[in-house]
Amino acid sequence: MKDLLTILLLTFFSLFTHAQERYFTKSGVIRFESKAPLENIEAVNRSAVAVLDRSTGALQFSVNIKGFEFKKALMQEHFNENYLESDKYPKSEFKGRIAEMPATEGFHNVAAVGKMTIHGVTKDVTIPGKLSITKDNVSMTGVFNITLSDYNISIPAIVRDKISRTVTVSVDCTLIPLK
Amino acid sequence: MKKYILWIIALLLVLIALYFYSEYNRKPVSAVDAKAHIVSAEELMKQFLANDSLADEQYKNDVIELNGMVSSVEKNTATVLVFSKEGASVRCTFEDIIPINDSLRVTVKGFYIGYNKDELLGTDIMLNRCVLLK
Repeated sequence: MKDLLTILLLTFFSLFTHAQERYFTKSGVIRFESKAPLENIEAVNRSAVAVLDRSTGALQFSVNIKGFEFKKALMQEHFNENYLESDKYPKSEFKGRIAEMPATEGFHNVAAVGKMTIHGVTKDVTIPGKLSITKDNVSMTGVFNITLSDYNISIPAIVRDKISRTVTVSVDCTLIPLK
Repeated sequence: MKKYILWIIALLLVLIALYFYSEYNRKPVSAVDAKAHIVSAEELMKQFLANDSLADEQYKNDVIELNGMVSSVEKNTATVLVFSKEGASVRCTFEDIIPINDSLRVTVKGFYIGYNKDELLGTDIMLNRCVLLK
């Protein structure tokens, strides 16, 4: 009888620990910046989708390339039509996990390990970042560099001085529990 | 005669330079002035739930003028108006925070940037650089 009670209590309590497992956002902010001798180019995307499993650390990101906002129309057009070919490859994705996913609340330095797909090319990556876990949500930020040629993104010689070979990407999103 | 030709060439060069300068600095078109598909949020969601790849092809690279009842308002780096129903939503992201409440019937115009179909999250149709028409 005592064992049955223990089992029932444990099951009851485990329901609470697994109750809020998955967190998500549909408005993650991704910025990228290219610093080159002649010009600095930057763009922002406010519609990144991310899902995080707090118990396993499994993490997925999806970004619609056409959602990047540029200040100059020509840059936005070249970005979509020539560099990223967004009609052909409409999304960029990350599929992986947070290594050693922290269970406690507070600030944590973490690394996201997994596969990054940009412009149809998939590469293994490890991205440093910060998690801020509270009772209500999980905030995640990270800054990393992307080398354009790694993803077959080719910049024509004419604009080579305007666009750097590596761009800096920063991620900033707050995920809430998925009900 | 030669003098005139030189002036004409100089003028042409200036015009060409001005063209490149204005083209280089050209800002993206605002949704307000663009030609758009006029559709209700309900209808748009219906189309994507019926056949998402077909709907995506139809609206690709276009502007949508959407009317409907706002289900919720999100305020992040910019306002997001969400129109939702069972299993689907249309998310209209603005470029800034705009004063608006939910439960209002509105007309919004924005650039269709794609959709996301997920068994967990549902089907989300996304518009950005939105403007509020009324």
